[in-house]
Amino acid sequence: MAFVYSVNREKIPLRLSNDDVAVGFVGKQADTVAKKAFRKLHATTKAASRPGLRVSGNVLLLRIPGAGKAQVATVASVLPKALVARANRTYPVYVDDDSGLRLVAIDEISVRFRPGTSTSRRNALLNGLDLAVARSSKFAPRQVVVRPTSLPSGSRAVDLANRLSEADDVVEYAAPNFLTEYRKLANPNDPLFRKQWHLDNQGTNGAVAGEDVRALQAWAVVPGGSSKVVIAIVDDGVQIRHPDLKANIWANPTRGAPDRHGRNFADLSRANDPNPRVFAAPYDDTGTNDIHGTCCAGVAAAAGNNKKGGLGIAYGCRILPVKIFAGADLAPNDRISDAIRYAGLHADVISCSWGIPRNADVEAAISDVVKTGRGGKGCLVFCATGNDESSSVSFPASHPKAFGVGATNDRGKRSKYSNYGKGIAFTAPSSDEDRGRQSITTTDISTSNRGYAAKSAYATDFGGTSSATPLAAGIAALVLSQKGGLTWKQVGAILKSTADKVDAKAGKYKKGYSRQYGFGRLNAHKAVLAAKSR
Amino acid sequence: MPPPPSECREPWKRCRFSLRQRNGRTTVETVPERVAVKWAPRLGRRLRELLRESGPVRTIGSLGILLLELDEASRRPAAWKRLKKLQKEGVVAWASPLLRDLESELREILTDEVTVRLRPGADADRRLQDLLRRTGLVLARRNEFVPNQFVLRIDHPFGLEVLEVARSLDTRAEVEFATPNFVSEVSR
Repeated sequence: MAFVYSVNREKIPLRLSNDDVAVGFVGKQADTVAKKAFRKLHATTKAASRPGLRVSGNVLLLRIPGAGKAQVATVASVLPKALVARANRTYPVYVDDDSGLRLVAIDEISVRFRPGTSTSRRNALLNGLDLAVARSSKFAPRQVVVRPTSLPSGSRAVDLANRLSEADDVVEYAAPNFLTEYRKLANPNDPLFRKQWHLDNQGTNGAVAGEDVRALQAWAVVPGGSSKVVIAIVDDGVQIRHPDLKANIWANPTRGAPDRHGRNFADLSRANDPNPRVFAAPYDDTGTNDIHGTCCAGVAAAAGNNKKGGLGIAYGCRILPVKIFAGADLAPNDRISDAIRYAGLHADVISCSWGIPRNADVEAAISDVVKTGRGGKGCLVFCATGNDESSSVSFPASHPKAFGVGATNDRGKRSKYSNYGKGIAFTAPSSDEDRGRQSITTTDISTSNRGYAAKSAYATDFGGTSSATPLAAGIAALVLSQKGGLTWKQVGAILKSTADKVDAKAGKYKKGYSRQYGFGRLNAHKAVLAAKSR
Repeated sequence: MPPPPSECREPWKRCRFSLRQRNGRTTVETVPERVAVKWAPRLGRRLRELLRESGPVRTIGSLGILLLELDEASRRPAAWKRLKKLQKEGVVAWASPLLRDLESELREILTDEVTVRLRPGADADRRLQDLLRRTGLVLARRNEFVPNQFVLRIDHPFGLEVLEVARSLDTRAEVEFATPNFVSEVSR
């Protein structure tokens, strides 16, 4: 059931939860009693039920399917027997659809009166609604918390707040004093996370704080994404035993399938081994070494909260390695096309951090996976716009059904190299070495003396639109983790409508679109919230 | 619009032409300074030795292709005649000038293969056999993922012949699209 209350005349929609109920305890040391009940229930309930269990003050929040409006007598059987007598009433629980967080409507309403409102007018209003002042604010002299003088069986806080708001000649605002659930925006425990400014830009090293994709906030809604959502990295292979990737490498669900962890279209004699294989001095040269895909994979979905290295934006999703290059910047078009088609069979999102001359077969392959992927809902194909400092977007980013991804730096400006123009869909944070800005920290080949960082399994100098692209793909994976039933067009529309219009002046946005930035820089938090509300 | 490749009769000269893609057209031009040469089976080393007389040679082992550098314009016609002779002798499988896509500035190698997708409909096999019979092309492989798509091979093409074949196939009623199976340069 939907409810609405108003704050500053803005209507805030709430949904009454059918599966949550809050129980209030009374008497001496009611807070301690509530905590005791919480501890006992935590110890005796199954782990799967615990996420709904919370305690705050004398209120215990429980998740019991179908118990939304239950009275104490109904939920008593769930409570520890010795404490049942101390439970005196239940409160309705609402859900904020934007955040998914729960709000308990206890019997209190915060009211701020308009300046100059006389005491007699205040009292008349409150008395008329059977309300009495419970306490006054220490910091706002016109603000009080009021409670009903008699307590009916269910809380009327939302209704009463709305009725108070109607007296807008007296009341500046009135809102239920909800007991609000919150999620801590805890930093992941990955030691390199602090270097990953593209996820959470704190403004260090000359960067501008907040010029990032709002990963922490997005993870509060959908922590790392779902293991059911698969991101294909179509590139020069992914090191599937990398310590920070192996937990997230896709495993073919078909028992006995030869392509256990992806495919290799570059070397058909090793068709089921998508690992990087070709290395030649100098070992940090992208053109002659299979070192690019492992970095891209890490940006998208390196494992998170594992106390190792850094993490990917979609650290809970899976990586499908699809190899199309082997030690050379040359590839037959039919292999590239088939790699995309293969990815379309198993992945939800496809990340292509490369450009080639436009070709009918590759065009057809992208159209194929957008049409037939995900059981007809369509794969999302993200492609790098290119690093040529050109006003022309590379192919396949220019494909009408692909999403061309450009790069912005840690100050929220277009990276100097980033191609722009017709076909750019949006940008995502990446390096900008020409302007001395920070690069991207991600997974690198872990074998000693191989990769961009000879002595480390992590590169700190990755970047280009090559890095922006898997970041965008990862954000799409978070959106699909939130709502898997969305079509590719719906996800695209969400990403476009929630992107931040960065560098508004130079970007020259017209009808929300800029030739420099497309629809703007991706905002993972807004995107997952938008997906949630659909 | 640039002329069709049939007008580029001398592969040692720079020549520009357009290709139809699914979403519009692209323009490519020949790079006369570079020739891609595919060696006949087991004759790679021999061919490499023979071509050194014409200019520096780079091997792309993974593709079985040699890239012959012909920086001196005056030597190009003779080099091409020599390639033709080597093809007749069975040492060269095919030879084509390197191409450059003007949109991306990336290079492409024209091989001896054309990717063909037939229009949707029943009995793709019968229509394929019919197409092979009419054109004299050979089925190189079927597409693993698209049942009505195939890679066809042209027997010992030379110069820009494969472009002409692809263009001709692309105009046939039963064909959804036909495109040379280029080996493309990749930018990252």
